[in-house]
Amino acid sequence: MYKAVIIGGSAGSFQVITRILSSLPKDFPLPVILSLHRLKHIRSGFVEALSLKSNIPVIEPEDKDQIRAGIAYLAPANYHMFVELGNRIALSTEQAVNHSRPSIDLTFITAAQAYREKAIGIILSGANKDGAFGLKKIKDMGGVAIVQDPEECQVQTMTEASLKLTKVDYVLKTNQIIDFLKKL
Amino acid sequence: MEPSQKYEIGIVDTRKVVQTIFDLYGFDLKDFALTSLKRRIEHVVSEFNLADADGLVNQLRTDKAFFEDFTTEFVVETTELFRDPSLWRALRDELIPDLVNSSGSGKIFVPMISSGEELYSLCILLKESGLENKFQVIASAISGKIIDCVKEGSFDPKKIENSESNYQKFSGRFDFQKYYTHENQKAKWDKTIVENVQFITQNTDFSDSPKSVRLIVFRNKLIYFNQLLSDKILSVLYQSLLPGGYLIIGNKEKMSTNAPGYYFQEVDRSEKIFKKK
Repeated sequence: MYKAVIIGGSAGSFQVITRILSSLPKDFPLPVILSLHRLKHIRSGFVEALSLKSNIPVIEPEDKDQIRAGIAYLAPANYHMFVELGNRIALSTEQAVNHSRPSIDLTFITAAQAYREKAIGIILSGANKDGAFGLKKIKDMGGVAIVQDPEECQVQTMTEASLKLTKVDYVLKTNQIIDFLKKL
Repeated sequence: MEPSQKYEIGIVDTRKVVQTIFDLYGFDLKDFALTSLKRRIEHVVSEFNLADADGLVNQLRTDKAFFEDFTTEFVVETTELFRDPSLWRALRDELIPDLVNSSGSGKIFVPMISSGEELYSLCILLKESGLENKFQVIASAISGKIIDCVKEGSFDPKKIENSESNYQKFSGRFDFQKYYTHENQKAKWDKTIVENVQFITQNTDFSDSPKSVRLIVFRNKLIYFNQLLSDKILSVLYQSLLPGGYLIIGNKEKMSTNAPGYYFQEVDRSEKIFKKK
């Protein structure tokens, strides 16, 4: 019944993402949309690093790419990544939000508008409050809001900001996030 | 910016704004990509304290001069000088020398400028290569007010740091500070950088684009159009180019290979440089 898993992360989230991607089944039934803070001037390397251990293909989409199940879409360096009508990716060079481009908020807000109650949003470790508002938007539209357990996070700012703003559905450790996703 | 405090526009209201602009000013935004179009309209509404879409429609109807202000806020795209330094190096070290060898001179077209960084970067590159008199740069914008702003050279000082770091990665010839002034929280590019540029205003259909162009710099604009309008505009730009001329689009923008109306040959996949055969 769900249409996409949208994950936001910043400082301290790389290993968590890697663990999640390496634990998903090869035929994972949903697209995984990754909005992660990254160095804006380094275009290559990140998607390759995430691909190494992932069970599903990880790509940096081009603008207007169709979003498909079983593929992870990583927001490219120095672009915002939106979910566009018609289940496509849209990219933008508009100003940074929360000092970030890509901004997790913008990916989550547009995913909430596109998928409504069929979105699952997950906020991971990070040193910035970006993503908190976007997760609230997913929750407000009837989707599922999940936050990584701050106790387990290398940096708690992002998860704590999310918990403060939204009555989330689950606070989970990495293992539990993986279990949750495997049941989808 | 706090996204939480912003007005959100629905699809029906978006269509109403688009229709009003078309009826009153002849600008067709209906094939702009919806998500960014909505975000740009929301931005305009909040910049001018218009409360909502009806406020904007009303302002557009009653104040004809307002449309010029609308365009400047609508197109605002915020990026830095020499975004993607590797592209600018390829342009300086490969493409421009190729154009100089094959023809010695020619026209370069920068369509639909907004905040002007691409234009300033290009003109700096030409000056530093001693070629500013060999190439006529033509820049278009959807309103005269945007052109005035770009000529004036004001910019957000927050862009200095990234621009400077990009310029160093580009291996520019000078101290970057030569190109701007920064006083009292206000920053300005040296406007003599663009003094030889020919500016034209142009509708969103790109009709009356210049002809016999050798290079078009058109990065990160197709992302604001839907597929239909992208294809339409790429055909127009294809007609603008001389055979052997180059087109550069954003490194995450898509070029169709089977569209009617244009056929570009890929020259550099990662920098998205294309050539008209």
